Order: sequence, then structure tokens, then C-alpha cells
Amino acid sequence: MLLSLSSFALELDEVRHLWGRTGYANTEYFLENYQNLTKTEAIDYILEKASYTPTVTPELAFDHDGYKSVQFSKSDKQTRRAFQKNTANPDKKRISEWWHEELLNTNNQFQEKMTIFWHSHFTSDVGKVTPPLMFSQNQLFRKNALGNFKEMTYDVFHNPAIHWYLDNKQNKKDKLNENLAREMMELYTMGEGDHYTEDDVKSIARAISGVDWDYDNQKVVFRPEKSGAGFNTLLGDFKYYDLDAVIEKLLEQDITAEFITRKLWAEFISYDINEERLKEFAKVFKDSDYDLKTVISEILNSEEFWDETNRNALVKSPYDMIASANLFLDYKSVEPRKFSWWLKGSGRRLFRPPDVKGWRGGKNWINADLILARRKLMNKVSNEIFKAYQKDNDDDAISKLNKKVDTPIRQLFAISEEISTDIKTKDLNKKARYVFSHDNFNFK
Amino acid sequence: MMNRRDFIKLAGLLPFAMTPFIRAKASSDKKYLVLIELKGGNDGLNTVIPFNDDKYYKIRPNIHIKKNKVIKLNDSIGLNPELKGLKKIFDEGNLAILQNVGYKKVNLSHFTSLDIWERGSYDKLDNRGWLYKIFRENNKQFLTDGVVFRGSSGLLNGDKPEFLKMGKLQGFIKKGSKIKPEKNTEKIKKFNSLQRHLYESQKLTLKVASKFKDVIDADSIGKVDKKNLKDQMRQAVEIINSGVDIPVIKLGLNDFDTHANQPNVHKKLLAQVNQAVQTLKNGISDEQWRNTLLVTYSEFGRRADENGSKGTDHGEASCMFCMGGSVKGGIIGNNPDLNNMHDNNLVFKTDFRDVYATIENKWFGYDKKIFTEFNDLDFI
Repeated sequence: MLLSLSSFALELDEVRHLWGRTGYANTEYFLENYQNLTKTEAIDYILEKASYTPTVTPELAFDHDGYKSVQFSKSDKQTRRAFQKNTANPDKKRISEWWHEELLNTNNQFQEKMTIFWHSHFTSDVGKVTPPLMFSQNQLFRKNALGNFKEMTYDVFHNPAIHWYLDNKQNKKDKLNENLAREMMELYTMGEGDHYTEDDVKSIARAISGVDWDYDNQKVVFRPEKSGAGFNTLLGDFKYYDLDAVIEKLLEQDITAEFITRKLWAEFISYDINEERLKEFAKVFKDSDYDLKTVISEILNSEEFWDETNRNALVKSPYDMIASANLFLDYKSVEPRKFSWWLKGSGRRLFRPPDVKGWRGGKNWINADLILARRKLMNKVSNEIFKAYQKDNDDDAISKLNKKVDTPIRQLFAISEEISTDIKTKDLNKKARYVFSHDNFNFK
Repeated sequence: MMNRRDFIKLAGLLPFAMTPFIRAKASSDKKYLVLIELKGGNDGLNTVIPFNDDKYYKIRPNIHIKKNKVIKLNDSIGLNPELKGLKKIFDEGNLAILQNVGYKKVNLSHFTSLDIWERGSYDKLDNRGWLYKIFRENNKQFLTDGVVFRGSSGLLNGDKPEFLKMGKLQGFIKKGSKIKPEKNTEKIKKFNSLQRHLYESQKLTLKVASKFKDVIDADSIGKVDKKNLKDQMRQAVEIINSGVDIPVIKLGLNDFDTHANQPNVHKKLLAQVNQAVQTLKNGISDEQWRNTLLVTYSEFGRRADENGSKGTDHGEASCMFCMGGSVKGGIIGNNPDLNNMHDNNLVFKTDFRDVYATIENKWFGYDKKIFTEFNDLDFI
């Protein structure tokens, strides 16, 4: 069945579908390179190209030690307030600008997309955790964005950010704090449900108590006198548990593979989940020892992914919208600084998830508030892009754009009747606005 | 005895000339329900304090409220010192404090427990909010069911968008009234469910924003910080004073998940609640105060015993506040029983759906259709 589905060259609409779900833009490049491939070939190519791409390092005013020395020293309120204003707040801005820059300039869009996906899964918030730690956590998401989920889980829980975010530093064996322990099962691995009990929450809290940071290596260490690691019952199994043993136990559960696969389904296929197929994908995922490329390849090659009813069946996040508008026009003119500012209004500031559960996405992007914010956002993006065209008096860019509008892009957006073939600089803005505010631009 | 609700029902049958307490103005018989979600799990025990119970001080050596600071309501229970405005309303006889509210087999996940509160049921497959169900089952239609200024809107969720989520009222009015939903009927027919959802939301936005434009002076609202509860309440006051047909206004305040360093955080949050209550009370007429019911809620309470980080972990039962000019004030339920707890959690005595049943039946005055198996409480 799969073979017959995949052995023909991709149709234009299929290219658009595949690219919309794994990247940000419908570029000519993509069409030229992919249109003659079969589905399976195109998917292999995308996954191969999505191998780890490193980033530049943001220039932060302070490293983590610096933050620690000011925030936790006995310095007076005034000093701390000045530090917050002059150092911490600018650093928070800088780190989000850094990510926006990566997003706009990346040549690995799939990795960027999955990095946001994991940031929304293993949440931490720069409102609580220092910028250098948020950066180091972000690197872990990139490293395994399309790598191995198990490895990423170990890495994330050996990095201080998530412990800091959920108060685990205050968790001591004789005075437990259950915050991280609970979310470790509920949000990060197994998902909420009857498959664990309040006693399991306490068992994990005990096993991961007594944590401290090793600042030089940005790793967590455990202080023996405060650590409750030891023999305990977790999920019905009595044995020795420390952090690693807890992670191992949680990842042994079929339900963990199902929970992560469920999120992947909603990211790639649709919001309606076929439970039977989900279980099949989850089994592939777990059998591969949590290899992400394996399960994502399975998903992208599935009948469900290609089903026509699942086209335009996902809502673009505000990032999807900006990044695809920008890349669509092949013009890098949106300043990261402005990017951050606009996103504030549309409900998705990077490094600032709405709560520990991350962004809900889907229909949650569609409500009065966000409809208006998205419109405003896209107006600004189109203004900005076309200001740049006009300023440069870039005839070449205009003619390139005309070419795009004339051929594949026009079809891609299915708005041919509204866009004339010959675009002049002065009415570019109006037309781009039309494209970007078109309702279909909300979906992928 | 005839209560206010019955009186209005009866009065409705009489010509206006004979009903001196009801102004001819259309707005005067509209009921408003203002909800404040205290997101994260509010610590009931430090909100309404059993200040004469030694056990309270014993299990909370670092985070208790000092006895001499408590605003005393009787000889054993009192309010957090930040809640001075609520004391005033209590003295006027219009604040009901519901003790030990929760539900059976409480789920200590924020998100699952909030879902249960918002649906009013344990049924995971039921996506409809408790208010949506009440309105639809009673065949009620409004300009819109509700406006959500912050936090989750699951309580108004339904098969079709019937509520509006907005941050700033001013922006909503100005931009929402210019929105252009698709007009081409052929295209509309072909919409998939998401496109239809967007289309319906756009239509509703346009309808309500256009109505607001006529009755609310958008420029008079001033600067609004969406996170600030008082600012949210100022916007709620605008809606109530405009007399529009919107029964529910929902506000939200984050950060009640006080696992660590609770005293400072909780104090500031309750101060915001206090300010917001005063903003409502001072912002509307006495008559509208009688037409308004303000209710606070939270997905669960917190552990009675403090943890090792000057905080509290997730707990079970907690308290709720219900206030308004038609509320029968007082304390409903006994003081929390710190000697009979469940895993160090307060045991629930009143199901939160008793509150919903009371709202369905005694506040909105509908037949009880959704919360039929729950009991009306005596706060209205």
C-alpha cells in the first residue's frame, strides 16, 4: 500500500502540503528540487537535510555565574533592581532576538520547527530561569530536534533549567517539593491519566531530590546528604531509583511513546487522532529506542498524512506565519527586534510559554483576540518587507517576485483570481497584504 | 418566602407601571456573572484562615498568617489581611464564603482538574463548558455568551464559537468592527472545520465589536495591562455599565501555583483580587451590583502542610468567594478540619457543582437542566 502511494512524482499540491508541515516556505527552490521526486524520496531528502545544524551563540551580558552572584548574594534591593533593569532584562530581550534571527536565517527550517516543538514540550520560562541557562537548554533541543527522544530527555533533566523552572532545587529528601516530579510524568513523558498515582509523584520527588548545579559544566549534581535516591516503589516496581532510573522507568512505559506520538500526530497530520494508527506509530517509535526520524518518517509516509482531508487542517502558529511570509518573499528584511515585539501581541513569545504545559496550538490560535493580532502581525510584516523593496528600489527583486507570483506561488496559494501577473512596486504592498491576510494563510 | 428571583418572575407578568423596583431601561434585568479564575491552585487555608486552630500554626511554621494580622469574621475564622475590601462587603451582608469546596477523587493535575471544573463533569470526551451547556439546554441566546479577558475559556467552549476572548477591549472594538469575514457562499460551503471555525469566530467578532462600538466609549478605557486583574475588571465594568446582553465575563490571575516562597507571592496576588473586587463595586451602580454575581474559583487547593521551600504542593479542597448585591452573605460550611485530612489535604464537603446548580437555578433563574443532581446552596 505504501509503495503504491509513494511511487509517483509529487503533485504541486502535495509539495505544498509536505513543505508546509516540515518547513516554513514554499520557495521556488523547493519546487524545483522536489517536484520530480516521489513522496518517499522527498521525505528521505527532507529528513537527511534536517540533520543537526549548530547556531551562533548570543552575546549575553552575563554568564550564569554572573547571574548567580548577583541574584543570590545578599546584595540590597536597589542593587538587585538595577541589575534586573540594566543586565537581566536586556539579556532576556537579546536571547529572544537571537532565536528569531536563527528562525529567519536558518537553512534548516525543519530543525527550527522541531526546536520550537520541544521548547513547547519541555517547557521553561526566561521569566524565571536565567538567559544563559535557557540558551543551554535550547541547544539540547536543537541537538536532538530530530534525533533521539530518550537522549534528549536525559539531557534536559541533567541540565539545570527545568529544575530551576519547577522549583526542584528546593526539593529535599525530608521536605519534598513535588512540582517537577508531577510534571515529569504528566507533561513530559506519560501524559495525565490513571496510569500513575499520587504515591508515584512522591516516589519521583524523593528520587530526584537534593539537586544542585555544577556551574562549570551546566549540569545537575546530587548532594548525598539531601538526596532521597534509594529503594522505592514507582509504577508498581520496587527498586533503586535515582534520576536516571526514574527516566528509564518512565520511558519503558508504552504510554510514554503514545503520549509523544500523539503530539507528533497533531503537529504533522491533524487534530483528529486515529487511536489504532497512533498505537502503531508509537510502537515503531518505542521499538526504535525513541528515534525521532524513524517515527516522523513513518508519519510522513502514512496514508493519513497524505489524505486530502488533512490538507489545510492545521493552524499555523504566529511563527509559521511570519517565517513563511518572510521566506516566501525571499527577502530578509524583518528585523529580529521587531519580530519579538510583534509576537508579544499574538500570543507566542519564544522562551515565554503561557504555562508549564506550553502552547496548546490548534483551535486555540483562533479566537477574537488572536484573529485580530494575527491580522495586525501580517500587516506589519508585509509593510516591513515592502518598505525594504521600495527603499532598495530593487528591480531585480521585483521581477523575481513577479516571476513567483506568475507561476508556482500563485497556484500554491490558490488566489490566482486576485493577484494580477504584473506587479508594480507601488501596489506590491496592497497585494502582499491581501495574500497575508487571506484566511488561507492561517492554515497549513 | 418570595425571593428576589421569584419577585422578578412575578414582576415580569405585570405592566411596568406597577413594578417600581425595575427600571424601564432594558439593561436593568440583565444578570451578569463575573468569574475570576485563580490559576495554579489557590491556597484556601491562607485565604480564609482558621486562626484559632493551633494545628494551623503547627503544620505551617513558616508560611502561616499571624493571628493578629487576620481580619476576623467571627471567633474562629478570618480573612487574609490583604482582603480588606472583601471584609467591607461581608459586613454589608453580600459576601458568601464557601468552605471546603472540591469534588470526589480530586485530580491533582492543574490541567485535568481545571478541565473538570470547566466542564462540570469528569467526562473527558465532553468538550463543552458548564456555562455553554446551561445556556444551550435552556435555549438561551445572547449577543454572545461571554467575554474572556484572561486564562482558560473552556467553561464557555461549545460546538460552535459563542464567546469572545480578548485582551484589550479598546483594540477589540476598534479593529474587530473592521473585520471582513468571507462573503462568497460557494467558498464558505467548501470550508473545512477549521476554516469554518475561523469564519464563525470572525462573524461573532464583527457582530459584538460593532455593538460595543455603539455603547462603549473605547477611548475612555485608558491604558490596560492584560495581566493586571484590576485592569481586567475595569473593562468588565465597562461592559456591565453598557448594559449589553452578555451574561458572563471571565477574568484570570496567574501564579497561584505557590510551590516555593509562597508568602510574598500569595500576598501580592490576593491584593490584586481585593483591588479588582473594589473596582467592580465602586464602578457600577447599586442596581447593577444587585444584578451582578462575582465568583472566584481555582482548579484545586493546596496541601495543608507546608513543604520544605516555604510553599505548598497541590492540594484538594479550598474556599470560594461569591459576592454581589443579591448575595446572601455569611460563611457556608464548617471551618477546615485539620485533624481529619486526606493525605494532608483538606477534605471536600461541598461539591463545586452545587455552586453551578445554584447559579443555573437561583442566579439565572432557569430550570435546572444540567446540574440536576446537585443541591442549591443558600447564597442567593
